[in-house]
Amino acid sequence: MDVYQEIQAMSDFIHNAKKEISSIKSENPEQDKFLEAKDELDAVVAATEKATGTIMDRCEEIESVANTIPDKEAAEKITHQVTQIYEACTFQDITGQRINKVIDVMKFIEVSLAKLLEGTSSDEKSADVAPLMEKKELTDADLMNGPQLDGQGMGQDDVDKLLADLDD
Amino acid sequence: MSVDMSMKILIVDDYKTMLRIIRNLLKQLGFSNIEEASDGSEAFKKLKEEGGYDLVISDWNMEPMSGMDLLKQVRADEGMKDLPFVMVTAESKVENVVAAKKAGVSNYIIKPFNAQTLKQKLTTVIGVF
Repeated sequence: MDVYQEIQAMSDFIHNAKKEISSIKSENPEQDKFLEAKDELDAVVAATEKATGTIMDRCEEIESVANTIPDKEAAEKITHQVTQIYEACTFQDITGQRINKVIDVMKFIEVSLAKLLEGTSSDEKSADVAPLMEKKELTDADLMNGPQLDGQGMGQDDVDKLLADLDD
Repeated sequence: MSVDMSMKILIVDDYKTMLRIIRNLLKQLGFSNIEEASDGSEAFKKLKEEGGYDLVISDWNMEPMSGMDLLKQVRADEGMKDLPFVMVTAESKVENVVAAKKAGVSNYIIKPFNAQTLKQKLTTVIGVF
């Protein structure tokens, strides 16, 4: 490989890297994968907080019932088990903090990528990304996105209707 | 040293779940006079305006005011400089514990913790109960 080919290969590599970064850090909020990932992580925190709240509600109810049981030994055993559930519920605080750390790292990467892209004109970005998105053939990995956030994706009724339409 | 189980305790954490867990564990231990705050500034306001607190159990990582800043303000206040102050936090690096100790923390509990640990640490701070 001569010098010209080496430089051409480097140029192609940089060009492709720019395209890939542009596709991750989109100016369109609906296509911004960082924003999407942050929303997903926020949803995880909210869901665990809600679930932990429900567990705590039930535990407090069990504890109050246990306090009315005449058999003190049985009541103590129940209370001991409830205490262990309280202890286990501290996971919500820890996981919440861990997820917030991940979000902070993502914000840092997002800002870094945005700075990197400042050297690329917006015309070049849109020209590069648009055909890439259109031509891209969906792979199995593209189709495995997990559960959708509230308000996104289809409900069961929509799925049923779509299936019926496809049968016609 | 016997402990007055009606002592006034302030628990400080930005996670509602953690406030609830600590409150329930304290109630199981026999304490009933428990107040809450969601960060250092709210806690300090309560400590100054309400007064009469006998113990503070605080998280470290909170906004706008952290547990460490709360500890420093408490220790800088002539009326509260000897107030028992227990840090309950996930900050588990050596430098954290050292800094808290230098700032005058009474004891330090690492999250996640269990009821036994809470009782043991409180015993060392406020006495046997």
